[in-house]
Amino acid sequence: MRTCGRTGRVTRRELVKTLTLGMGSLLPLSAAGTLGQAVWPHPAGAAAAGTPSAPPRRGGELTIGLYRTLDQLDPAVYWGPPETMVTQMVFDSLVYLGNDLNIYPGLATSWEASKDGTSITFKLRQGVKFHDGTDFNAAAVKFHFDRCADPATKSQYARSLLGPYDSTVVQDDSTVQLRLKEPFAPIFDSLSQGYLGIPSPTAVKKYGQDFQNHLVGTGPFTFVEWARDTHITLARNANYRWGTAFPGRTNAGPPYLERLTFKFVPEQGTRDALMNGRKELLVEAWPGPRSLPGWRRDPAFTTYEGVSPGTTWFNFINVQKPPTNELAVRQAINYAVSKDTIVKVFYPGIARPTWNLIGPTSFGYDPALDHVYTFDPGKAKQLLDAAGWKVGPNGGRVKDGVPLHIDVFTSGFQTENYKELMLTMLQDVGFSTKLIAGTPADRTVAGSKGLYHVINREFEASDPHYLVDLFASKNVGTFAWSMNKDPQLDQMLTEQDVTVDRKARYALVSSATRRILEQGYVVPIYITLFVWVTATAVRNFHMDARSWYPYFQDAWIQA
Amino acid sequence: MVKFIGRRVLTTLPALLGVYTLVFVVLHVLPSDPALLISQGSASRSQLESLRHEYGLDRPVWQQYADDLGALLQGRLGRSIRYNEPVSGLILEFLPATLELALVGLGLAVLLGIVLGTLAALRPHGWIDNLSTIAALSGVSIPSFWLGLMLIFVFSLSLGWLPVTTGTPWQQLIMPAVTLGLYSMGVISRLARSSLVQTLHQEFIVTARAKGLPPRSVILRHALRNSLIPVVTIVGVELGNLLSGTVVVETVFARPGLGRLITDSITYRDYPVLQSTLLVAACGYVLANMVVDISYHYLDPRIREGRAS
Repeated sequence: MRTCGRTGRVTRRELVKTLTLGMGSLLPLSAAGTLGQAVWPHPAGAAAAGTPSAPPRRGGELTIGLYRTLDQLDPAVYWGPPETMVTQMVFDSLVYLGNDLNIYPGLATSWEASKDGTSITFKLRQGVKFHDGTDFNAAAVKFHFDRCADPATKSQYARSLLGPYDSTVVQDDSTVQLRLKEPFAPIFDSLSQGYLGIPSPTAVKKYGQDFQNHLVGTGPFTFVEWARDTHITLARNANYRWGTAFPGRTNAGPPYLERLTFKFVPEQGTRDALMNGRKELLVEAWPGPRSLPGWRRDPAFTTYEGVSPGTTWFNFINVQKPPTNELAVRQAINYAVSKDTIVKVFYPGIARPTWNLIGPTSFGYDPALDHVYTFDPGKAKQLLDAAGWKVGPNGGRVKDGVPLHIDVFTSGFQTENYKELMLTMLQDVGFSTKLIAGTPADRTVAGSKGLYHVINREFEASDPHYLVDLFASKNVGTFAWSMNKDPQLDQMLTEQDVTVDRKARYALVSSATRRILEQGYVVPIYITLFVWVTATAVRNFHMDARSWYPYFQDAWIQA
Repeated sequence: MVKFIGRRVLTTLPALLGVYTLVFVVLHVLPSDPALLISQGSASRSQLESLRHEYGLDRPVWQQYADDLGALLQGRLGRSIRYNEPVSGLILEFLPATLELALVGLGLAVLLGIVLGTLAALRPHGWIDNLSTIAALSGVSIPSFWLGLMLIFVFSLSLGWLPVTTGTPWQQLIMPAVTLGLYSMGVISRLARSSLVQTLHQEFIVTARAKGLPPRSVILRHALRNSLIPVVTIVGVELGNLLSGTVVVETVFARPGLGRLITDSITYRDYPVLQSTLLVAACGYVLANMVVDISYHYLDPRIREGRAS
């Protein structure tokens, strides 16, 4: 964890490595609906603790032990999941994503999309004030979106979220129209994210590039201070009267908690100590590996376990590099790897094997794709035989004198420590293998250049637009690490992006996923849980539908 | 004195330019793309191109070199790609912790080194001398990353005496400072010993003793003071080594500081931060040596009077 927290930009998913020794309950994953649904598992032991009907009590502070420091916080500029935990408390967005994966009003009370899907007109909530006292209005929305789209802002993510952004037009103080160059199905999901939460234009103009040290939004919490190496503090916005409740968030009024302090504690042991040392109080943190089973049992703590939407943990298979340029070889890899064994050995109680690319809590998850492949080494050998890869004298397969060799990348996190086991499984069917280790940064560079045959990735996001980033041929050289240029897949991916009708889009996403799996562009491995632990005195600890991050305005502390 | 300092500054400029150029070359030889690394979320090809353009990464390499050097000469250090903050601000933020660590480490090394060296010199080949030889040898040969982990293992995890990241600032400083200072302590104690042994054999010491001065006065006022010149020289060099040693120690002990800023920035290929912080580190080295040169004037009247240098 030490290296994980510091040596580079690490998504929270990599943190899951901390949980791999967890042994407790089975995964509380229920079968999701056809369109995919954010699962809301019951926290273990929550029923036993306190009376659920108790009225919320105001007051108190919450300390959150975070696994790394935060890099940047300007919503127009930054990218990073844990940073979003802060921005979505300071900034309100136009709309929200409920746990049922539907869109609910936020700063926009209603909206209407044009027939061709290229413009959306939002009616804005009135009487909303930024933390600096200035008024929220249509001009503020335009200011933020224009700023995100401006190349000079050097946006790392917000600009991508806006897709084919054209312009924003202020129609009157409380009416604003978002114009797109073409329809963009993910737009509402984008607008519900912390990156597109609306900052105060007055404050942005005043502080310029230093705005990230003086965040001003309309959200339930105000920005107090950010000490880059130690903590960030937010305080209750007592004037917060414009909140909305939706599935997953119950409190529309001001928060109950007076203060939130995010402490940056890269060392797990220290995070655990932080928790244990203040047992009677209000601390909550990510658990360390040894302590998770204990926390699951201990009535003084409550664990919240869930799966955030996005891809499963998978590996790209490079289609440009021989021998994985052959379909049979890629399929053989998929048949040869036993995900059950991997999970049993490395991630018991914390992950479940998968053959699908899209996780069960995502829009676009199709249960029918859970079994495109099975563990079947016989079938793998058969495919390789048929493709002309014959077993040589030393057990390794050879075709035309060339050995069946693949290079597999690992960045050494515990989330990838199954790689050696995976390689022995591949050797069992006749592959010769080499494991190449590097940093997360090396992984990104190697992936974009297609240096190896198998390289892992995962992407946490609530809209399947990530399939475009990860598999469209135009992104070969950036994030499409299978290096595939597949016109048929490109067509599906382009089409799903412009299909606004959800049912139709779901069907397209499903066929695109099927194509990716059947063509062996990936080999998926497992799905993991994310776990939060709070002192049981912390009540109404509700998670968002996107990243399994808490909406802190619901939470309160039992006396 | 002003002339002396001025000349020293002028002679170090080529060295600093060399450091800058070397860092630039190494960074650009490494396969990397800061724009790609920073937009790990998602970015289309065209967005990536525009990010590269905004960061100036699409300029020819020689032009990047010239432009960045020009900006640096005007005192503009640029903005960090990872943090989107001015590099100068980041350095000011991270430097104090590193200086604190390096100075406390050096203080420990000098104090222990001179005490051990003096005790050893008084009875050459006695048991204190042998013990201090072993201590110095261990200090010089144990790598700091291993020593740091062992200290954490023994004093934090096994004995529970010192917390690793919690606790008062002083508690947090002890183990890193010891880890950092042990190498220099070894070097200094050896040098102090040999220098003092030499001085003790000189005629003016014999004279002092013959005069009937008390041994304490002979050793402390006459012998030690005269044998300190080489020690002071090595202290300057060691301060430079300590500054670079903080890179490892800060990582092992998870301390914020310039060293950690540098290692993190390598991961991110944060060019502006790396160029500037490494230059600052080089300046620190140069400055330490200059301070040593100046201190000769105060320690040794003979140098002070022969001011012609």
